[in-house]
Amino acid sequence: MSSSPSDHNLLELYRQHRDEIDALTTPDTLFLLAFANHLGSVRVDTLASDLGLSLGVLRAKLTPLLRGQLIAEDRRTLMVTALGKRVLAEIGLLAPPLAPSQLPKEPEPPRQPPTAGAKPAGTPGWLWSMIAFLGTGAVALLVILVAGIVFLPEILPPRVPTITPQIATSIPLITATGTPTPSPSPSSTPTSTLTPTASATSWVTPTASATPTLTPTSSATPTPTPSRTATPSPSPSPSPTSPVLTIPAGHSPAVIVFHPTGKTVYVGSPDGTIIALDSQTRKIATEIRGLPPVSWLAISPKGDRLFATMTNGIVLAFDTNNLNNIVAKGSVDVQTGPDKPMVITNDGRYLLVSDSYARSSNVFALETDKLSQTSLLTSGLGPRLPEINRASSLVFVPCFADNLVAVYGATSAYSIRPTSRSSYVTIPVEGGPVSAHLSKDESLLYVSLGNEPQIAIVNVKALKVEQLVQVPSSVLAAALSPDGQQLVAISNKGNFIFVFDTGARRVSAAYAVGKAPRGIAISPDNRTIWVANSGDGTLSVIALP
Amino acid sequence: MASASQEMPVTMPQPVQLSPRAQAYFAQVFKPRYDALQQAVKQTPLAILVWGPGPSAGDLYMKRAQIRDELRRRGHAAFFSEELAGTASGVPSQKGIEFLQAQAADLIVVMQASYGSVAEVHDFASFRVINFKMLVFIDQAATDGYSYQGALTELKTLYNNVETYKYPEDIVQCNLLRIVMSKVDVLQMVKYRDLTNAGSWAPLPPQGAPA
Repeated sequence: MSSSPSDHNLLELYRQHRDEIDALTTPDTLFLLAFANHLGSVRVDTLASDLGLSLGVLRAKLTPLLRGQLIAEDRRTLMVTALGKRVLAEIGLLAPPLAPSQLPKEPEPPRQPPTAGAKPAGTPGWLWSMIAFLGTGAVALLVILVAGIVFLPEILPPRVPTITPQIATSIPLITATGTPTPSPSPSSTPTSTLTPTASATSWVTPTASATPTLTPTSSATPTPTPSRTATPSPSPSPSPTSPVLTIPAGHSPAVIVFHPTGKTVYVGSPDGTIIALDSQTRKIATEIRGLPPVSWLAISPKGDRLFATMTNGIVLAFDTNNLNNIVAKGSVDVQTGPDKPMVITNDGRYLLVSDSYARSSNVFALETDKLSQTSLLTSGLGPRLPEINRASSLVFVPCFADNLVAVYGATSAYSIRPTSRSSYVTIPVEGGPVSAHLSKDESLLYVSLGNEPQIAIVNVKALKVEQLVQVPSSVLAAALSPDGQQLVAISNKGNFIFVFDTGARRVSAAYAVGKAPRGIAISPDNRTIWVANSGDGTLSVIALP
Repeated sequence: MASASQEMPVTMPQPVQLSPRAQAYFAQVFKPRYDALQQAVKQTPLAILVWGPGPSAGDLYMKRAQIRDELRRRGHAAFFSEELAGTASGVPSQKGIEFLQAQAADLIVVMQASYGSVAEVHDFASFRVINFKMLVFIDQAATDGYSYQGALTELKTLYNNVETYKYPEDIVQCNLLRIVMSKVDVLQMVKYRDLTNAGSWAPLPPQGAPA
């Protein structure tokens, strides 16, 4: 085959044939197409049973094939189209359909998926599967098998979405109701096209073990030094399960926050939109467009104000009764970096906004009523989302780039010294701290790490790390459940989240989510985890175990 | 940091919970043919330029070199522009040389980290004959600038070939390398389908012509 440059515009070709190329580069989707063609025509539920998938997952897998007109559906029966057959023929995958007499017996009835909130052990066992290595030798196969055993969650999310019938049948498509600017249809084809499907979304997961461990130790993750030896977290028992519901939200949702009542979820996107969703109906109640790229959202303890930071340093306060009403506007002096995580003191009086860029050390304190700056904290480099104790007397700032957590007393944090250099004490936490959450009794601080697959448990009184617990992956962001019993973390190694049981100090479950999860929130009733998936414009909603 | 080969094994999952007939089809029909397809696609290397900062940029330069080396390991013809310097005679400027190189490449992986370098990409992106070849990776910190909001936003809208990355996380954690390889894999399949005269594809105008 020639290695000379193509005569054609590859990106334009891809734009025009995206669904076909995505199918060809995604083994499970291609298998679905080829197998459907092999069967001639097949009912959707039969195909789901053949493949060991829930209907919801199969529907998701079918979407690009239907959109690309490679498969057609008529009254729940699927047939590969002429175009689909031609594609299969051109790549050597066309096989004639079997005659009815050749067909083996129909597979068993579809397995019952778990009910919402069911124990992970109730999920089908189809997930844990073996690896076949394509095009390379036995040595590489061995590497993958070992990786599958000890490093599974780093390779692929541990489970694929399973939608319970009760919820799946009640999924309403999001429609704009009473919104100033309706959301695009979730099924609309995006104009942006170069979005290769990650293997992490495969419905089958490579592993050589039927009971994979969630305690990865591989060369991809540096072994901790003896001085910071981590306590292995036992394998989740039972195995991790999957999201119960995935809702297309449009845009590229990156941050998500609940109203204190739990009735409304606010989602912010870098495309300059904020949407308010009814958490029960999943319908958009309000949508605000035309903002600068939204970086972070926070809501006042009373629920009357929604605060948003923008990547350009603008901070806005919205009236939650009417999001079109901006009640205050302020700004902080940020020059670099789009991430401006923000937290509100429990008395609702102050906002703390971090400039999370790795070369910045600024955390700004603003009064919430006027959004005027009252203090500038200088922390370690790369400050992330601060944590504040109930009395609003202590502030903990995880500093990713400096491997420390900075701890401030209230005086230095909120006093009106706009540009003063604040004093603080530091807790060294190696591994790039990205989030900090106080335990219910405020005696412990759970620090998630961005560079190490570990959770650091800090003794607040002693101001030092008490224990390092091995977890499936390093972390992008995390949230603590309202009851304080579970820390839910977004992996930065794949499209999944995992749940850390703070009482048992072990990982109890893991869930596959959409592409490029960035934002996470737990409902005030402690029942659901909501994840904003920036890569595919969806929200994953998962029952908290 | 793990080597690239450890991070991105070429794997294919083999389902074990399929129905008997699906398992039979997978093992006897699908997998052998899929293997053959993958081998054929691998025989379609891409010519790729890797643009980005020089050695003074430290870890960004190291990442640029890692991307080039991984592309080479996968069989692609991947080069820095400076490695090809001097191969074009009679060209008055470095920019002119880079332009000619760009015309000869399938893809140009562009790593940029500052407002200034985004502006340089902006200049190149205005050349219609090469802008569609660019896979542009920009530090998120530089995306507020005019250049990003202008031509690069147009490129992203049209081809989605502009990605942002977080410094240093995406460098340290090899996310950038992963994204580059994912996109190159997709475009390698596109080239394969193009070169094998995909019968199901409608004729397209040659490169450089209006779409």
